[in-house]
Amino acid sequence: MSKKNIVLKSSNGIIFEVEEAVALQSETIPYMIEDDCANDTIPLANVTGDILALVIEYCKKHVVVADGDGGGSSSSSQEDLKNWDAQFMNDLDQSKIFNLLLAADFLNIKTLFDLTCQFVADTMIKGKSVEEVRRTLNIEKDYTSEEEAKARQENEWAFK
Amino acid sequence: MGSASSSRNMATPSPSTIAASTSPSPTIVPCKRSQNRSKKASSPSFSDLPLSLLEEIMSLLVVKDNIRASAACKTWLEAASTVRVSEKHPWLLVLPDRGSLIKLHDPSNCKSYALDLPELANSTVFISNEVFFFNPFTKELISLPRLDLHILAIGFSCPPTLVFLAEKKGELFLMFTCGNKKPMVYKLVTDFEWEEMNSSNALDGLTIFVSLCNVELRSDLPLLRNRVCFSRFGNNRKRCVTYSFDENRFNTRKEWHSSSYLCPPQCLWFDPPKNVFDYL
Repeated sequence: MSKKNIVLKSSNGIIFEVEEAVALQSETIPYMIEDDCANDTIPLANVTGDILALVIEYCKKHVVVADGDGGGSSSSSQEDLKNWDAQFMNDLDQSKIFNLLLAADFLNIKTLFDLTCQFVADTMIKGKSVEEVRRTLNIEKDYTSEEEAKARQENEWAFK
Repeated sequence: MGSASSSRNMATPSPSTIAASTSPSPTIVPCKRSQNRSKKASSPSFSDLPLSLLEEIMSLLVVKDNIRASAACKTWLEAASTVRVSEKHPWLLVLPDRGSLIKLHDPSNCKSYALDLPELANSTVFISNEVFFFNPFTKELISLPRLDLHILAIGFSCPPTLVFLAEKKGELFLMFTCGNKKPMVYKLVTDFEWEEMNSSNALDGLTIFVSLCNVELRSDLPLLRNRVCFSRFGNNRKRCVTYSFDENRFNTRKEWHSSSYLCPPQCLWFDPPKNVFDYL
């Protein structure tokens, strides 16, 4: 009774009902509520159902621990949360990560956005060769061979 | 509540029947780039990410990864170079033997500039307790009262060996030079232990700028990595004398036997202001 629920609708029409505290980890959603544009259902035109499900899974996990912290919980829960975050990201494929990044940005969920950016940087770019990066992140080479050779020559040390 | 009624009406029809068509209330959704969603069946390309997001990711990379990432495609180049933090290398300031024409050397592009500064005529660069700040560009002169300064970054020993102590991000480095032998660089690894940095990897991309009066350390300068740059401009006075740890040699063949060749007096490494060319 005391808990207010918020209804979110994905771009492909899938409905999610979540506790207010879960939804309010997004800094975008309060504006939508304030604007009163969507007092029953908040339509999220940029987020598909499968991605929204992931976002909500993340927010639910993090809202629980935020409650626990209020009660003076130990650092072990922080540690658990870190492990959970790592596992959460590890289970995603490239396409999900891409869309999760856009969703976290659009919904303005800072911790999820930072987590996703860090994951991309650490696991998909760091220490990888240019070819590996292109393959993993599905980037088409739009340099001519001459342009690329020149770019590499200028900073040769970074490619060793 | 009045203005909300229209959107409420639009949102009410049973949502489960709405296909991925247009949004029921597109006006409330900030417009984001999402054209590429149409081809989401195949895996999306990270070159389609908005520039601001790419910049966030690139800003989490060290310089080496940043440079590699910039070679992936043109959008990534733009994002990576926007957030790339390269350190600026210092310039060398050389006071004249007589007169007031000061020379400024840019070690990266072999260019020298002259600056006429009557204010500094007959000044000497040396370490003393009498300190003044002089900005050679705005010509502001700030005198300081006599201070008992404890200067950590510079050390002297008897010629022909020079000893330098320098600090970078809390790490302490010690360098010896002697004649035209390889300079020896040590890093303080524990409270008592100095580790010699002898391979290019161990120097970690560092560039050490040395003059008789000061030492400046920079990391990841693209053209001068793993080098010690001395305040002597050899090779037709175009390029400063450097020792490369990658090539294990000096960039000049000239033999010398005195450290004052490498570090002549009256020179100082300094950071030129961003708008340095306005003054030259």
